Amino acid sequence: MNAAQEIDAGALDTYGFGARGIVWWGVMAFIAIETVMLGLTAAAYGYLYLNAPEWPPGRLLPAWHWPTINLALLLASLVPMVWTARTARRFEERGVAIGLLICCALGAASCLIRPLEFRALNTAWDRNAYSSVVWTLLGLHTTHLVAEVVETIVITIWFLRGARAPRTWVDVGDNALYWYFIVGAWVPVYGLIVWFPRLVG
Amino acid sequence: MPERAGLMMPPPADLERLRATWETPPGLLGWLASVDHKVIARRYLITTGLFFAGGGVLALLMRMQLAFPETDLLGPDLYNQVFTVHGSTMMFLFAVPVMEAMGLYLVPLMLGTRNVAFPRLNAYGYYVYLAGGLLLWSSLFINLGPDTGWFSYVPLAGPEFAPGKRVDVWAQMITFTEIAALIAAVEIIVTTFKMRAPGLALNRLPLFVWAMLSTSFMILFAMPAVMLASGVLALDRLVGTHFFNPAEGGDALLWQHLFWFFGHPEVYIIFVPALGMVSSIVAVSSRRPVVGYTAIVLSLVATALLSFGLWVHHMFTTGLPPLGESFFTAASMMIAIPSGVQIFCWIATLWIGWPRLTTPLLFVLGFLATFTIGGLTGVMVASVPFDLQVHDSFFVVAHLHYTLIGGALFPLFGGIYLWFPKLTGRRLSERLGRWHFALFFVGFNLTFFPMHQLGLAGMPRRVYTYLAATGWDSLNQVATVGAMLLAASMALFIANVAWALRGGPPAGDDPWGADTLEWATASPPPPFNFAHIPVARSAAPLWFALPLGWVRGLAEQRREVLITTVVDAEPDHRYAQPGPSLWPLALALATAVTLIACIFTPWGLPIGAVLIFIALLGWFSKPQEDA
Repeated sequence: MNAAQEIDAGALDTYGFGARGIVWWGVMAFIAIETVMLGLTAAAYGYLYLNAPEWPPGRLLPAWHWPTINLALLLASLVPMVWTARTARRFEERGVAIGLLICCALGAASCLIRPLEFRALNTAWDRNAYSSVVWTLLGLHTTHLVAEVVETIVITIWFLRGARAPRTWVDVGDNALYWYFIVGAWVPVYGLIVWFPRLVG
Repeated sequence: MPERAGLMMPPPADLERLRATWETPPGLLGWLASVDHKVIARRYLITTGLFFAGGGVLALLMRMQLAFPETDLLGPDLYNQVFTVHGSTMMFLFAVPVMEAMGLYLVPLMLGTRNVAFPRLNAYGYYVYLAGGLLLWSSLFINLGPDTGWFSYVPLAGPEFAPGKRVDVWAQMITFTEIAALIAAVEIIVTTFKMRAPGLALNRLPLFVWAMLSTSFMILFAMPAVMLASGVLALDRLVGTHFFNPAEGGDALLWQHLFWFFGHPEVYIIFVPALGMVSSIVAVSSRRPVVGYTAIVLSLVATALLSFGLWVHHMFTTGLPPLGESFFTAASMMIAIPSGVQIFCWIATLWIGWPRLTTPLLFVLGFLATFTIGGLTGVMVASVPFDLQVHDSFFVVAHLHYTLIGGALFPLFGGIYLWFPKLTGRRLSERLGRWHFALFFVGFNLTFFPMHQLGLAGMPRRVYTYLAATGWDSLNQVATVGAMLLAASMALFIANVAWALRGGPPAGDDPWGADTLEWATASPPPPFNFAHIPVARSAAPLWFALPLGWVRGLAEQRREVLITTVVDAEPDHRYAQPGPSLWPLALALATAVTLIACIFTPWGLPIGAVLIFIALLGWFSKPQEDA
């Protein structure tokens, strides 16, 4: 029989950045769910494509300008977001505040471009199955984009109002994780919507 | 704390403070605001029980209708609603949530922690689930009950052939229940990964927790498929998209692919937790650890993976390419292997153990017999030529009830008999339990075994009556008598529960002499679960490597839990959890208003978005403090 073992947790931290913390894992699980959601929508797109005699029907290609501008914008937003997340780990107030404000601005700009991207699809959602699936793809991504930008704005407001508990800094990092997903997901969705019809045409 | 577990008794003042910190506040508002995983899991269990009873009543109605040829007890329209709501209730409102409820109750206790990872989210999940269930059942009473079957095939369920709102109710019910299921899955995954008692490394996880973990990953990857499917079905019906409309480039088979990509794993989502319960029951009943721990864990994971390669076997009659069909036949037969491995492990455990034939073990033996039959008919229908003959016949009805009732309900009842003492502090009567089991076993086989023959004789499922000349009446009457026996066995079970709650014998902390950590605390467990977080150094911590160690230094005046590392469960940091709140309820109401309003007007979406935003702001209005 072993002697009873006592562990003293009193000296441990009360927060953990990144994969040490539970919120990071919660965000990862949510990312997994949404990846499946977007992946299956993309699969539905492929399935409908395989059944279609012409793609898109009537060769009404989506315009590429606005979606590409938004791609550039979102990719560019990675720089301040990565920087903000790293700065948060060092508890640097000024850096995080500036980083968050830049991200909010880029995110808001990206949201404002979205209506133009829907118009760039060159079709209404109820025209045919192709238009239904591209609207759904863009709609799903937009929902996540808007939700994430709103969340970033809320976190920024807290931060600027003086919430400085260690957990707020952790939140900044976990929020960044979801931002990376939004940007990362846009690359294939953008490719599918804008360039796939041109490649197969 | 029991002596044998070797946990040190902390000074009484600490217990008082812990209780004050973790207790659900008094009063109705406090009750609604509770974030205790045990309180929420208990709500789930009671609610799923009520829906199960409702689904059972619908089943009885169908059996009455089919007992004699050309009966007009239920007309064809009502019959359609009844079998649809029966199937949808049993799958979405009973089977999946009841398994998750067992997980939400037991996993934190088995892991030696104080709550699930995200307590408020957990509360929200329950309220959303409840709203979905109420939506489905209230619609049945106002003649809005969905009527296109639990898998709602298009084009039957599309805008052209199912006008009105019935199918929209079904589609939104799916959204509600899947949100809840996904939340429960995330809770179980993160709790299991990050909140284990120190020393409880992954290779020491109780098999039930492994089963819940595998299930939760299946949910994560399967449920989005049905949310997407029902979502775009609603779009087709409400705003005129064309996903499933062949006239505009859509495809009806797309529905079947999306649905069964979820629907087949769904069967295993129900079945795998039951496997975990069987492992617990077999270990406790034979008083030794289950033989082949690693083999069972690998089988659980293999089942979870393979379950995603089976969906097309529901679609053999749709004229898919033969090569594809062969692949799915092979995969369908392959999944019998991990199930077989586990069955042999359990038999070996019973063989070399010291089994006690208690009620939980009786249900496990019933499971082994019935599930084997269900598994064998599964191998039969996995073969394309055979499937072509019996598709959409009562043979399939028999098969699916043998797998689901045999594979999931028998172990679930065994699990309820095993853990009831932990939940309530009272023991169920063994004598009534044996009668419950006997009636259930006989009634079940009497109800469903004749359906194999009815199916082979050509009786189609989902048709409200049949002609006398078919000669199907006598077997149908046998099935109806069986269904009444099943109902009687349920009445006995309810009587047993009522008797135990009113004054059954006190259970004590550990009435079975069991092996896992949930038995190391009081029955029912206090709001904080454990006075001290235990330290475990064995897969059966109450049997080996005693005495247990303990963790000190967690704050008692706030809801602090210990976060540990993913693989080895080394202490990493302390983390203060949020306390009771009404915001989860508010957010669930906002969600419900949104989803239900969307059935009637597209304006539901923007209005709902605003409501949800307000509720979220309330939820997060006060950033949590660390110190």
